[in-house]
Amino acid sequence: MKKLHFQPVKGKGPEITEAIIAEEEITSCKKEFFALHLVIEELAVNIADYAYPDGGDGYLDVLIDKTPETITITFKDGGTPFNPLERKMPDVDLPLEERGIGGLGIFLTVKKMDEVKYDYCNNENVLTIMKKISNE
Amino acid sequence: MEEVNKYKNQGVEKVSFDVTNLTYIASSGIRVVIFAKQKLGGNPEIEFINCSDEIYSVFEMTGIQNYINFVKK
Repeated sequence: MKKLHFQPVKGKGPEITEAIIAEEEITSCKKEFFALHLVIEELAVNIADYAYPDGGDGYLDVLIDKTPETITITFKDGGTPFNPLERKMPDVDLPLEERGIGGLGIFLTVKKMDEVKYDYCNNENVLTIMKKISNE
Repeated sequence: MEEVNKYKNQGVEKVSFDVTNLTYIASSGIRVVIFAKQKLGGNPEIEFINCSDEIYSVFEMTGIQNYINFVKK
């Protein structure tokens, strides 16, 4: 298990994303890399931009656990309680002209991962994503 | 999105994205396409040049691939 620590500041999401996807556990998932990159950016940007609306000394801990079959990444922050899975998912069957632009990030996260879980405990948002790895 | 916004209501007929060197897209990229279609006015054509299969799959997942003209150059 690897643990990374960040200070989530508004606008720093892409920087946090780059640091996470540079880890060997992620780069070694060749086939899953595109999906992991996408999902990590969605979550890191959300946390950086919205978890601590008043700024201050926030934190984001990222835990990466890789087994031969799966990769599991956990995002923990002590910011505003927020369950992204309760967000209204976008209606992807609506004509483009009538679409909203909210909820696309979490929608793609759920689509791209094999498991997405949210929990709030010990004053922390705990979001866990899991993807099965193809071994070829 | 700011870039697209500059051309609002100027009779833009087509927005073309050359994504030859783009290896990755997130929801922010999807939002730019929706934004261009909704806010520019006049229902402009959206074109993607040399879109990779993986990026296409994200458009497909969000159901907007039918609103984009994909071309290879």
